[in-house]
Amino acid sequence: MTLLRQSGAQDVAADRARHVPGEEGIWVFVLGDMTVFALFFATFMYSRGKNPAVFARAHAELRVALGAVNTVLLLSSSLLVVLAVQRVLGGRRAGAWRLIAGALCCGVGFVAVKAVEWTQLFAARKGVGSGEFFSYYFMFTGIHLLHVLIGLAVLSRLIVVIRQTEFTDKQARLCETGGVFWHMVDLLWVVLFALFYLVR
Amino acid sequence: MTQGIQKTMAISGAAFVLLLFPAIIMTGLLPPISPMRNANEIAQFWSTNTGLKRLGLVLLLAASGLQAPFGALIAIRIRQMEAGRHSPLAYTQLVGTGLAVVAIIMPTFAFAAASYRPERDPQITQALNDLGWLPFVMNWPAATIQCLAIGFAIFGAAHEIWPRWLGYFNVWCGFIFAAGGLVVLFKDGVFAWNGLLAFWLVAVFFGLWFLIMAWQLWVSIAAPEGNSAASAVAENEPRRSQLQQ
Repeated sequence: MTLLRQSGAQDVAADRARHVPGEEGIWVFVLGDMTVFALFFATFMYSRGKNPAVFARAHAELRVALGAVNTVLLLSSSLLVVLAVQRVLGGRRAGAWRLIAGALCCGVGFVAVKAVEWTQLFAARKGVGSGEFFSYYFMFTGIHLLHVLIGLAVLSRLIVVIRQTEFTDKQARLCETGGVFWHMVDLLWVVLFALFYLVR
Repeated sequence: MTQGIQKTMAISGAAFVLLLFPAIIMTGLLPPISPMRNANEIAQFWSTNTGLKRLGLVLLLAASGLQAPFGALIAIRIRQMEAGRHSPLAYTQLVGTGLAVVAIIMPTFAFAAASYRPERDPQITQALNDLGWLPFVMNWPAATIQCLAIGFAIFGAAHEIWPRWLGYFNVWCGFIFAAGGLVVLFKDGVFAWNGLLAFWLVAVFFGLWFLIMAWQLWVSIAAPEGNSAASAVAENEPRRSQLQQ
């Protein structure tokens, strides 16, 4: 095991053969995180099942358009990351950082839209303490927002890494690992969007 | 540092959990009393089975100290992983461990005070109960500091001691432990101090984290003093690692 890890080049080749994107360790984080979010979704649906009327009333206060804009932003950014990682792995990393920068802009846009949305909700006197629906809403989307912020830091790091002159398989795998994290952030948002904005 | 001492330090992490949870159950903290209970109900709770509860608190205090040697051995591993003469992440880990001991000690004293005079005004007992429960569940930095220090040490390791998945596991646990940090905002639901996400999820992974880290400390004992040259060098000659930068 140690021998395998010490030789980075072989390791990447082995990874490809096994079709595990990124380094293996990130999947501990991704699967762990998705399990916790699955638990979030289950508790939300359980509480909602007990109090459908209250949830429906609070649900009407959310603006689906803002949620939809955010979904589009994250899906586009994920696409840009896919294209960038593809170029990096294919050995054509020259312009790849611009794609990541595009994804980063989409991510910043997501944070901006979220800020607008929350400001409006706070102005309407909605907060963590205003009923079950909103305590779930602010907690879950807040925890997701933290993931987005970490994702933005990761993407910024990838831009620096891609633009470095020294670029080996280790760096390529780092890009892939960062991409995996960003896709998870995207996937979790899609479920959150469906859960809070769409389900009636 | 003999292997015997290292083994004892590694085991103390597992021993902490194996002592902590029975002590918590003896004290009656599991399942946690709801924050929605009124002062009389809480006073009633703290004035029944006082003997067993107080014994549980004595054990809780004894358990807290076991984190110190365990955390110190983790700091040694971080030093072995870090490049350079200085070991900022190892120091961060030690600070986290110190805070983790306090994180158990402080609520224990508040609970002890709550159980100490069953005849007093229930309002005061309720305040002491709050003063115990809030820091008990809310105090996330102690654990998260350690998780992030370990995680970053593994990601940036100059000498590989631990597998990288352990780094990701630690970073993830660091976030899970932070879920308790918001209990002051809730008296009911999954984010209250007796809630599914703020308490039960954190409690399960808190226990698991100690067991997994104790196991990883245990299996890494042979490496530095055995045949793995890289890590043996790290302990005695941290400077050499700078050459690899």
